[in-house]
Amino acid sequence: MIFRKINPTEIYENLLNLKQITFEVTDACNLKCNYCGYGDMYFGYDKRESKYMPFHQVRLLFDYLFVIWEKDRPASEIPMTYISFYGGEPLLNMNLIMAVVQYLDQRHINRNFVFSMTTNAVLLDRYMDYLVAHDFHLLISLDGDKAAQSYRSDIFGRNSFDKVYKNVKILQNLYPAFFMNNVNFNSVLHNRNSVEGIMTFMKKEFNKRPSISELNTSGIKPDKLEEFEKTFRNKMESLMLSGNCEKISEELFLSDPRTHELLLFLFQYSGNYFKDYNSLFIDEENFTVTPTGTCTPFGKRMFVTVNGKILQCEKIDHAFALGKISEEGVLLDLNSVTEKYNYYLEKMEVQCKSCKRKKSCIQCLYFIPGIAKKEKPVCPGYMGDAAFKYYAASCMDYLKNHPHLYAKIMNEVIME
Amino acid sequence: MKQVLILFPDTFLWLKDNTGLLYNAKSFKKDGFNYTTALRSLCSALLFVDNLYTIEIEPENLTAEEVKFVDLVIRKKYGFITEHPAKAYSLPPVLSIQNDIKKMELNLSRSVNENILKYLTTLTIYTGGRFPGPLYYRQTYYPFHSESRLENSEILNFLDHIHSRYIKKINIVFSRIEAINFLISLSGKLKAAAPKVVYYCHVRELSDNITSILTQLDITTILICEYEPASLTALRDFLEYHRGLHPFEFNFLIRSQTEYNYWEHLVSQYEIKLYKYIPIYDNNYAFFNRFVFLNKEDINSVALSKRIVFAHQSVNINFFGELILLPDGLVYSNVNKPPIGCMQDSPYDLIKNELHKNYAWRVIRDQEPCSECVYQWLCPSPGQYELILGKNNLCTLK
Repeated sequence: MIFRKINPTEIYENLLNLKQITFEVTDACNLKCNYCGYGDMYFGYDKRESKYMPFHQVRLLFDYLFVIWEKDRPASEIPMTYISFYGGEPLLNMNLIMAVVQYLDQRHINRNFVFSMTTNAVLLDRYMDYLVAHDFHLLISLDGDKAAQSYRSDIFGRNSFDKVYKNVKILQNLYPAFFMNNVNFNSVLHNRNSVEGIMTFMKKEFNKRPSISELNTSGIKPDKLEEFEKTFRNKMESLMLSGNCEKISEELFLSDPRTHELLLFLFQYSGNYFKDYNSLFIDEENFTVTPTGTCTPFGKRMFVTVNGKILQCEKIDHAFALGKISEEGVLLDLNSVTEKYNYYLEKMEVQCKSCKRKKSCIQCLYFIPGIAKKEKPVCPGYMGDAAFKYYAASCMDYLKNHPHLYAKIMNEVIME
Repeated sequence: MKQVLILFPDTFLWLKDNTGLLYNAKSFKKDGFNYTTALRSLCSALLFVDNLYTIEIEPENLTAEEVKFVDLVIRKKYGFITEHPAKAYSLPPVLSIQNDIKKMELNLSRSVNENILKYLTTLTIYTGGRFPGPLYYRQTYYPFHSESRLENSEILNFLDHIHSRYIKKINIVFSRIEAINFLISLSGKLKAAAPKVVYYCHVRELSDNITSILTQLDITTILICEYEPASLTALRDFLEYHRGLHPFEFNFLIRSQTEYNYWEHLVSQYEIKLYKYIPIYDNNYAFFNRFVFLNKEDINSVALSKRIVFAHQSVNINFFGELILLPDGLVYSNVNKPPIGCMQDSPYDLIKNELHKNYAWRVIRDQEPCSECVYQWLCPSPGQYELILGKNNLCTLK
């Protein structure tokens, strides 16, 4: 196995084939959720100042990308690019969203744009007609029933459940087909809900299977650790505590952490998985691997903050911005992005080389403590011989107990 | 006492009618066996994916044939037996290609046309021009005879039109090299268009001028060498002049044992290092039958990794990723099949046509008699010879 560095050409090709651009259209929010990643519990983001992204900022970015998109042929004839709106609460900046939609509609770019949004649905009743008309894909944040939703409160501390539930029901009743095809839910797991409770609620109320996420475990303020630990719930533990764990696991499929882990294991260690036809022509010894499990810049998406910072993902610390949109235009020097990224990779390379899990690593380098500092960072995901044996055995034990997953994963799953 | 029989993940178990084959893609061992009625239940259980290549057996209850099979599996290390069923598991070789066309067709949220430009990695351009002679271009890279030839500008326009960052190799097969300037100006632009450029030039076309230019271009040049008087004279002259210093590579075309012997002598005499022997079918069935067709011994010496077996099961490793432009402006994925488009078509349309029509890229050994043979996936992907000879197999087994 050969470790490699990235190069500017690769980043350029990622931009050419860009799958998703996520705009943080505002840092303002009409809720004040206790566990919010931009709230009191965390650091690692720009100060929240109730800013609203101006349209010219978005246009500058598109004008930059249009040059690339028109200059070279992408891998797909008509690539699909998700234009995602994120916050804060994106519905607070609908003027911008409408302007973006109109702008892209008017430009005749050889690309399918799919609009999507992560929303708390508090203002959904006001804008649902527009969202439906423009075929938006909605990810609604709802943690379950009223008790489960109690961390999602407004600035006065009032539970948002009644308002959100009512709005979602209106959408469901007015636009049933849209609701069925374009709406999904994300529920955050914490000490006031459970995997089983969330699944049961979503199934009963909306006939949906939500994605369930844990609280972000990075960037917690030291003085908030106690509160975090009190609030945090592990998805696996919650699943195991449920009465019909196996049934829920089956429904969750890859959202069950064990099944997802099994997938990674099978794809990387079975020797039976190939990304595409071209991979069949590469001898395993010549497979190149980028140290850590980090996506290459813009390989999956681009994230633009309300302050114009360009990052490779919305999950990472804003300090890792790779570029910026200023009044003059887009400042994104691919050589400098490459250097920065490779500098971090180099720091991890020695550990990665001896790590037994390097083939199925999921450790994002931006979450490795000390990666940006001069000190030698230590990878929290590192596995020696014993740890890897345990990991492999636990994956295989799980498969042994759920043998039907093998054919299902190998024959049916298509990754992003 | 109950035991568990487990096949290793690198073991393939293939069954056809009354024949079975065990093949280990790590040790490259292979053993055929009679797939009799007595083995059907045991082998079917092993091949049922949910069993993860493991089955419980009770040795005292096995039939004699089952005992023989289990013994073969263990003795030749295709698997093993354990008495601890809890720890018994394996991963049968179930191939998963993420962008597999059939898989994508079944997935409503995805399109088979995703990322298809990446598949096109090789462009082969036959410049054309007068080159009367046999139609060997249907079997290998060989000059294409035509009254007109592609102009320099047409070749470059075609490359501009294809305009893909994913092209790794461009082959140019010359018929006549009439203008030296044409060669020089073309070369610089080709090198900018792909990481690797290969010129195929018939040895008869060499002149002092052309040789001199070709050696200076820093492009791999392969000389097509044919056993006929004019070519042999030209080749001898070339080899004498460049004795010990061979700037080019050689494709020696072979139609008979005599020709093979001649080339072998030449290779030794002039210490030629970079060369290939290319069998050519020209009503010489007996020669092909004896020297080209695979026999049992050839197949027994096959040593393929699991990856190559998988490749044989899903793509044609001879043809995948290549499109060919002929001097008439038509584009082919296989010159022995109808064109898939013309040089004005978008590369996406050309690729989509090939994926849809499958004239070449995914032609595998799934036709009779290969589909009835346990060695089906150990044999090389079908090539041009099958089409020229009009038979699906190039072996003496069926």
